Amino acid sequence: MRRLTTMSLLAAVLLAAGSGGAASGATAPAISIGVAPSKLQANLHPGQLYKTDLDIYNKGNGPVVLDVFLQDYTISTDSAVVFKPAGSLAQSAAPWSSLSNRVLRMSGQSHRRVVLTVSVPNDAAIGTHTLAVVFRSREVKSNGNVQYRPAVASLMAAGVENRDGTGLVLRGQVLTRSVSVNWISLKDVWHSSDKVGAAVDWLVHPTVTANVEVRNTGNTFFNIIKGGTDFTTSFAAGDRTHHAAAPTYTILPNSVRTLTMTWDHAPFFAKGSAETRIYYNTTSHLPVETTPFMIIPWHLIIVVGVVLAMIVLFTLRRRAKRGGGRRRRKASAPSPWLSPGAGV
Amino acid sequence: MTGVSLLLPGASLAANLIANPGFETAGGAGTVFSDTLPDLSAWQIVSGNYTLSGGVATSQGFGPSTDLAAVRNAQDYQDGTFTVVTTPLTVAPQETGGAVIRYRDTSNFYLCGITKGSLVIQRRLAGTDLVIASAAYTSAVGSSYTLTATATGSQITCKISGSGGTATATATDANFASGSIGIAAINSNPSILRQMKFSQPSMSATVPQSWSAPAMLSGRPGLVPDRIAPANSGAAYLQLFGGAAAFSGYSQQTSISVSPGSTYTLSVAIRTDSVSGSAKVVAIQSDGTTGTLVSVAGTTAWTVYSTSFTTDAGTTSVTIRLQLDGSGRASFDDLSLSITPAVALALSASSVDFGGVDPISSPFALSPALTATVTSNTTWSLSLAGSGNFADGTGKTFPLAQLSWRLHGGTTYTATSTTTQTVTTGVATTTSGAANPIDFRLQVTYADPVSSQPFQTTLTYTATTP
Repeated sequence: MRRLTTMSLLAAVLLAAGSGGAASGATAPAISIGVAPSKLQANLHPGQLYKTDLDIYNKGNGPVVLDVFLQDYTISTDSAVVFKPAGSLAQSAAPWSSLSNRVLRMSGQSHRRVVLTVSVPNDAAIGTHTLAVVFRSREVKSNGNVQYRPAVASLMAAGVENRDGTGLVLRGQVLTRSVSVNWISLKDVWHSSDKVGAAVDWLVHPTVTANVEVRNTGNTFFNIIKGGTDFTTSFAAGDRTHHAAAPTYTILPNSVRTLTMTWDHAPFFAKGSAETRIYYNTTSHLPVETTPFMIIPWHLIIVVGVVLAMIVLFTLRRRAKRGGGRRRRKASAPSPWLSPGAGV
Repeated sequence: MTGVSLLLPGASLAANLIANPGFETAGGAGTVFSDTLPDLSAWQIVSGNYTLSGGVATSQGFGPSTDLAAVRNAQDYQDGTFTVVTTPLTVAPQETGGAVIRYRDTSNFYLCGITKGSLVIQRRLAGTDLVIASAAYTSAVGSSYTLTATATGSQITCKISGSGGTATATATDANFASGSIGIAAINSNPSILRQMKFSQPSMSATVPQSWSAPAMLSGRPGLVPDRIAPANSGAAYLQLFGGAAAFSGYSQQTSISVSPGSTYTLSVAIRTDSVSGSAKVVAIQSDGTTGTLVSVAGTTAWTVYSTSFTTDAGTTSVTIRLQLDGSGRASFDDLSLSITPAVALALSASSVDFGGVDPISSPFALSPALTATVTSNTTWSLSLAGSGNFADGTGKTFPLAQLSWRLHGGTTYTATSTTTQTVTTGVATTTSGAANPIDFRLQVTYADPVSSQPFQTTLTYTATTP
């Protein structure tokens, strides 16, 4: 116990910062930075030079110091950009690249321009090469325990092709992993601020979700320019169609991106299909993927079932309270005041 | 069923607002060079000499010689029609003069000319002249004749019109596929002066579809719809040339619809050959605002330049102008103009302080600890990565994973890590951005070290547009 007490006292100064005391919130001014373009895309040739301007904005009122550096990157299926050391990936374009500035000291509400130069070697492999230009704020001196650094990055994808324009193969695939019908839970209803509305949603407003994978099996990137999933129904109670727009991602070679396409407030009872059409330019799309689905109003069925069951139970109990039902009444003694054929 | 699609290379880039961006599609014919000959600055006298007076160039005429002037820096003309008004001051079989096409050097070119009694197509190959086609035509001293030389593939056509009527000669010859244009007067008589006058030279060729014929700001620059030297990609590109430092001209594409107050990225491949001024790409907004986006001088190989500009509030369309100021040759290829993807990240604070904590009261929550606001005009992602364990600067540390986070209002916390974690993603935002309040929870135990110094770590929030 003593040890525990001692430990507690000692631990009390753990993380002590400044005057300590109760947990406190934000302690320093906001930082706001931006970059444009945040995506760099080009088709280049071996031996070619590529120069691009990157515009950096300090949108905050205070000065910032930004470190500018190159990184490799990958993008996970759930669209997380994972940075790696520059030059660590086989497809890295970082070894070919240089920046006009490595440190930017910017006053509030100011704009600077950095030039990225990519010199594609003559023996560069045909295919897509990537790099990220990261602009990261330096730490602001603070006694806070957790210091934040905002960063923005410009992600480059360069398709290196032969001089005659050959070599890049663009191959894509759409795969609908599943189409699920989801209903909010009673717990969600309970915690909702609009319990009536949530209860209605629980009964008759499901969410239909198509989990779609977009695969790039070629050697060059492509963009999802437009498209999405069209939910249509052959019969339905409520809205009959819905279009869920696809996010405008860039799909790198040998990668898979998961798109979650949803139809909120779908009809409570329907049979339909989810058709996903992903455009890689303004007029062309990947092969269309269609998956059927069925919406069955389980909650409504359960509620109706429960209500019916309650009515039946109520009726039975009522009959039971009245003495066993008709058989008992039939068995009861006839009224002394009533007799067949007798008048009153 | 799923399918695998093989798509066209190059179909992957963002939507391009520029029509015919690679100049691969030919448009209608237009005047790509013309000269009123106020001086000879557009020309290079490569053999003999010329004098100039009143917009008329007169050959020196000493024999035996060739007085030849070529349009400077116009060496890549392939197909087209070159017209020049020719006035012989003497008519003799030893003198032939007229329009030169596909000029390679003083020893190699075609001449569409007149001589005594005939219209000729003459080929000079390795210094040797040979008439490869002719038509009877009577010319007179002092009369002016319009000579029109047309090259289409290997077919050369020469026409004349003037006081002697019209005549046409046609030849097929594949020795020269391209070259400059010019004027020549060949006098083979060594003892007699024979001169010719030339005026109103003009070249017509197909101009790339959606692009204008060259407009002159000063001097007499020209345009070549080039398919000769290697393009940046494809087979064609657009070349502007100028003969003198004072020359300036352009070709442009007008009425490109844009949105007001939006940022666009222009990308262009440019090659320059001895450009004394600059090869430029200029954006002219419909409200009159003009800005030079790219400027290149000297001699450079094909280089892709990319830059951004923002349209004014009153702008609904832009003109993209390809311009050459000065002498030399400027080649343009593979233009693109598209909305610039952009992302910005604002953090409501630069640090947070948990104050003094102890295991008994652990965990400690800050809800929200900060708000990360992402502003983007496209699909975005916000990620988080820690720099390392908490440290007090004296060597004491405890694991970063004891700090966990969640989006405000979420149900579960995620331990922070040095590995990048996705905080959230979103689609294009309004100008005020998408605010993402984030909660923190810190767990401390008796096993953790104690210190009078604050333990600190750093979290990096990164906004991207994947």
